[in-house]
Amino acid sequence: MAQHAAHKNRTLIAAIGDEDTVTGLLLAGIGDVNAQQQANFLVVEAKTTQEQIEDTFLAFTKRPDVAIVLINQHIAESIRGILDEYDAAFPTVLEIPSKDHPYDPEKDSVLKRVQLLFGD
Amino acid sequence: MDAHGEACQEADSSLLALLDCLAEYQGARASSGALLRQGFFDLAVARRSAGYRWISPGRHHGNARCTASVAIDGHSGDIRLVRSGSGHAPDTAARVADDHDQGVRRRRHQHASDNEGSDGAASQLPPEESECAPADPDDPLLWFGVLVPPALRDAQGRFRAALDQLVRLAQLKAQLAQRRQQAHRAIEAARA
Repeated sequence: MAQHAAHKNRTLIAAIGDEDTVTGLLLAGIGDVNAQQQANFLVVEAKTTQEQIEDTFLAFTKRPDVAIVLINQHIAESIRGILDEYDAAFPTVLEIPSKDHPYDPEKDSVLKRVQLLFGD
Repeated sequence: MDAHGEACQEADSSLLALLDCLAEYQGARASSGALLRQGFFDLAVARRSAGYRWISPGRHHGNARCTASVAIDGHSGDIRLVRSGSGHAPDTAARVADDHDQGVRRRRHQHASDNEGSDGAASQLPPEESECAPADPDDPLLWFGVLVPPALRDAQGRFRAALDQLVRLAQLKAQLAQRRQQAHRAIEAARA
C-alpha cells in the first residue's frame, strides 16, 4: 500500500508516437507543458533518431508526474531492448497501434509473459 | 482434502483468475484498437477538408495544461481517468462563435417567436439558448480555430473514448502482472 501511495502524484499520460497518433491524443486532452517547458509528448518523424526516442522514453519514465506512457508499437520495436529491461509498475508503458501499423499481439510483452507462465 | 489437493485447487483458482483478466485485457485491446482506427480515419477526413498542415501537433498551445489525466488510488493502486474542464463561461473566441451562431439562429426563429403571443402559446426559451452549452476554454479543439471541420470533432470523440479504454488497459496490465505472480506462486506451491 505504501508503494501505491508514493504514486499518487503521477497524473500525466505521456505519448511517443507518429504525427497522427500524437495529434489524436492531444485532441483527447493529454497534452501538457510544465513550468520547465517540458512537454509530455514526442512526435516521431522520419528524421527522429533512435537516440532521441530512447532519451525521451527514459526521461518520461524518470519523471515523477507521469503515470502512463503510450508508445506506438512500431516505434517501441526500435527501442525494444530498453523496453524489455523496463519493469517498473509506474509509469505503466502501453504499446498502441498507429494508423499504418496495426497492433501485433505477438509483440505484446504482457501476453508474452503470460505465455511463459503456461510454458509456451 | 490434503494439503497437496488444496494447493492444486489454489493454483487452479489463480490460473482461472489470470485467464479472466487476460480475456478482459484482450477485449479492451480490441475495443481501443477499433476506436483508434476510427479516430485515424476521422482525422484523415478532417485533414482533407481543412488542410494537412492545419491539423497537426504543432497547433498545440505552448502553455496548455492537460485536460485528461489519471488518478492513482493510494491504497489499491487502481488507475482511473480524470477529465478536467471548466464548462464555465467561454473565452472570447468561443463567445464570438456562440454569439454569431445564436444571431443566425435567432433570425430563423424570430418569426416563430413573434407569433407566439398571437397563438397564445406559453413563452419558451428559443431552442438555441437551451441547446447552446458554454464552450470549454480548455478544449483542445480551439487550437485549430473556431470553426473546425465536423470530422475533427468526431475524431476528438473517438480518441477520447480510446483514451478511456487505454487507461483501463493500463489498469488491467497491472492486475495481470499481479495475478501472474499469484498464479506462479500457487503453481510452485502445488509442485512442491
